[in-house]
Amino acid sequence: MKVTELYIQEYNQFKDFRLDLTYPEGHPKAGQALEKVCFIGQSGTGKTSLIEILKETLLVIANQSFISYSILEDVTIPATTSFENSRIDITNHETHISFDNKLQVKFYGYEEENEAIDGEKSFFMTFIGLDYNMVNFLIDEFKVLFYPSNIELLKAEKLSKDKNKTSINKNLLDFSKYDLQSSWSTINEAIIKDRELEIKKSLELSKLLQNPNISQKEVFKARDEFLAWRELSPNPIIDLANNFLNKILNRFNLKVKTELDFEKTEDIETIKIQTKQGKDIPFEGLSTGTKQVILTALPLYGLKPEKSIILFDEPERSLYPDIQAEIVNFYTSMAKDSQFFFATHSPLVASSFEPWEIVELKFNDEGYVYQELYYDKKKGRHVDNYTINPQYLTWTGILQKVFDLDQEGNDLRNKQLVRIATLESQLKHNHLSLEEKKVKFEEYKKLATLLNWELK
Amino acid sequence: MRKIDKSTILSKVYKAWEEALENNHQNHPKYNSSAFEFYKDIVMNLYHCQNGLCAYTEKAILLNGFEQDKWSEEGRYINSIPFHFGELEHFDESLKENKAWLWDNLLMVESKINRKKSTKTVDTILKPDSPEYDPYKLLAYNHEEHIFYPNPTLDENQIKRIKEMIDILGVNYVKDWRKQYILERTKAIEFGLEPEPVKEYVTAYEMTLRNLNL
Repeated sequence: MKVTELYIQEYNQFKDFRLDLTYPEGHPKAGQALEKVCFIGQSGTGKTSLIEILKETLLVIANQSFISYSILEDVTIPATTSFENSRIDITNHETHISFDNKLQVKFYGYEEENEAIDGEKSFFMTFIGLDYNMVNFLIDEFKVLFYPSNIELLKAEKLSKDKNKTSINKNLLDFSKYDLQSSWSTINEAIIKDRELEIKKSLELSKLLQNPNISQKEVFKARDEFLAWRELSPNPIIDLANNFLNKILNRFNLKVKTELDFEKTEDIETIKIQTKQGKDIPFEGLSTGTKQVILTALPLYGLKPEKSIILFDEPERSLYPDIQAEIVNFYTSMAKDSQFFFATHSPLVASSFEPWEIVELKFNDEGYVYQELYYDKKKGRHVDNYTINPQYLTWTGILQKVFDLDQEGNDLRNKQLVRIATLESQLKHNHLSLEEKKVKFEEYKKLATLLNWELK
Repeated sequence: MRKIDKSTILSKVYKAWEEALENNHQNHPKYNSSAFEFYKDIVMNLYHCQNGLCAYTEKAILLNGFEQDKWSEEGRYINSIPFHFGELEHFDESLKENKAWLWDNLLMVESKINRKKSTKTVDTILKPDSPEYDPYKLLAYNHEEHIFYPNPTLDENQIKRIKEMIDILGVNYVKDWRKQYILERTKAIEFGLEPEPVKEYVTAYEMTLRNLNL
């Protein structure tokens, strides 16, 4: 289930704000919901607000207590929800959200007499176009994953040590509330089960070997059985390592440890990281960026979400540019038929998107936010009318055309460009003595290297 | 940075007022930006003299031209200023204190350029409205990187002064846009097509044509 349109009547800097989240005319997927969306814009334009509005509205929709077969007719129902920890209060403003399965949900503000009780707020919502299949899907399968920009890694580690596992909402994984590291072991049952089974099988094998009356034939048979079991039931950690995490971890000279050496109970529940050379690295010893990649990827890998909505605020956090340029493809490869929303300040992250997948927010003269269009409105929303494509641009091009940076470099660069142009011209045209020419040429070559000035 | 001729006076009431102050060696009223009585008159008169371009970069800052342009018979601007990206710039910032409304010291420039220049001390060697100013004598243009630099045939001291002023006025601030704008046209010529008319970056375009013998 993917979002095709979001409408906000009036909320803070948003007024009569409508986002078309479908592929434009002329696109092979024209009219279908965008598979990934990237919010960009100056601080304060509301990128995080949009992510949180999506989170809050989807949370209500994914909360099965609201969904019942009795609301199949297009009726408006009163509902309550608790928004204690949320920045966004959806009960305060009218919001519409439409999906690619023709479902539309409208939220309306609460009325005075229907005021909040005990931190719970009442509001009205209308489901339009709901059917039995959708109700079943919403209750059983629909998932929303939310990664805030401030994932508290340190807190996560502490919680994990305390073995304080937070219970997980079946439909919404809000990682601003859950502890990423401990939640992963809850999520990834497959790996844990496999590890437990491997330990069990190893113990059986070892018991057999301890029997002094066993024949060599029986030893070989038991060993072959163990190897056959391992071959028939592939180790999920190897899949995780080879097909997902190692692609990124190798950049940090790291890899997922695939062999199981069982020392402590926790070893079963967590994955271990090694250097490429095979030296174990304790989780605490990993860099912030590495931890972030591992901890955000694990729930995606463990849950294998399908037809889900995944929200990421600032995925670039603590990551080096080369990883930033790949992180979107890395995450999106881990969830089938799902819709991703990212909010970012990074031109490298933005470079992973098609032009229609970018939502650039700007302030108008009245202080309200609008979406800057990358096509001529008069000509229409057709792929041929787009004038910006982040996937075609250089990094500098993205900074200048998408992120509106005027200059290609520091102010001092322009000053030095004037200096080198002067030198070049003097070398070409002036009647300098051979000695003067040699001196100027040395200066020219040195400056050309510093400026990355192409010698033509 | 092209030469600007400010001799066309549409804002006659303002100009008479300014001349009277100057003749009597009086201080000007304090600079209060758009709150000033003749602000609109000055801005629109300058835009006329500058063809709606930034005085230093030649980027278009009055996008929709002069369609709404209206002056009274006595010489007052009687419409609101059309949408523009410019700011009223005091070439010599030190004159702002007592000569805030001196016609000779005022220009329209893109707001970013104005902020970048700020209160830096200027050298009149590059003053676009000065009678001695001639871009073709003082400047040269590198048509590959699209930057202005001092004419290399000048003496070292002049070269140094001009280099400094190119930086202070932000003449090369728009180089990447200028490059695109000019290349679209020189490429058209190269392919035997008629280039679109040149409205912005006129000096850079002209110098590029000269460099390429087009």
